[in-house]
Amino acid sequence: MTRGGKNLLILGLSSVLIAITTTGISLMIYHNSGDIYLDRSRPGFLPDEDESEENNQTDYEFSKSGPINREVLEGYLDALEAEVEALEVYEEPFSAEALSDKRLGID
Amino acid sequence: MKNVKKRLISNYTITFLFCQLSVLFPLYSTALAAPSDLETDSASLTETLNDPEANSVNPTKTPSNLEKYSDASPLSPEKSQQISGRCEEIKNRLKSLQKDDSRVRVGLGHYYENILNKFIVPLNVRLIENALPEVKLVNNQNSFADARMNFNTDFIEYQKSLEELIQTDCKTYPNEFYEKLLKVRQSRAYVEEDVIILNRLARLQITLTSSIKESL
Repeated sequence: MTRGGKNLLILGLSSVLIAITTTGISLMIYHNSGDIYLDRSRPGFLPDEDESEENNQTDYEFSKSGPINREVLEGYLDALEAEVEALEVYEEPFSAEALSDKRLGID
Repeated sequence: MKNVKKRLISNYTITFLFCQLSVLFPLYSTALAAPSDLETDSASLTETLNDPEANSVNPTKTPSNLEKYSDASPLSPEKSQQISGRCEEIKNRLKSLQKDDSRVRVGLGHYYENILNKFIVPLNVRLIENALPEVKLVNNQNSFADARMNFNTDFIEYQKSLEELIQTDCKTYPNEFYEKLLKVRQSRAYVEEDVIILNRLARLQITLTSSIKESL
């Protein structure tokens, strides 16, 4: 094998080694930081097709500058009330019932 | 000629290694980046936090809903057998719950993010700009931000324990499975408590803003 060929081989092997190492470190950080549990792009956790209809969130944004008077606060309260009511559509989120013996079939 | 070749190869190697490392550091920093927190545009917000009475909500970490688990008794032989016999079915239900919880978390997270960044923070900034600072609203903002962080943290812990539970072999080790199930229930109770607190704080924001509106 020529010297150039040898160097190319070393280059190739070292690049593969570095790629494996960096990927391993990245995955380790991904797991340890807990981001994996928030990631919905992994298989089995992808959003359903009809899920986009649920997230009809407001485009309203209260400006950080401007006057403060009754009318302004009324508009603010109406928008905030709508947002909070939308929150309450989730009935008893993370309730104890879902993990009860009865629900899991251990009764 | 040989020296030129050597130099070329070593330069290429160094450049390549540098490119590989430059991919690693952004990934590292992205993974470790803390979730975005509240924005504080005005430095004077921090000056108005000295009123202890204004902090009307005190988030605690002692979930009261654990009492609902009256069936958290030592595992009887019948239950142990049931767990072993229905192991696959139980795991499928847990996986379905895991996916559902993930969906609910994203939905709630978006709403909480909106409420904090589009309603709570801008109102406080605007009130201060209009020389109408309201200590209770500022404290509500801080409580909401803290509760949101707790929600994120507790959800991750809950999902970790749930993942561990799903990976446990319930056919062979039903007792161990049930013990882990009890821990998952506790983790889930913390998450539920965080949601209750956040919803309460959001309602409190409406109440406090209404009282300011009436005073104008």
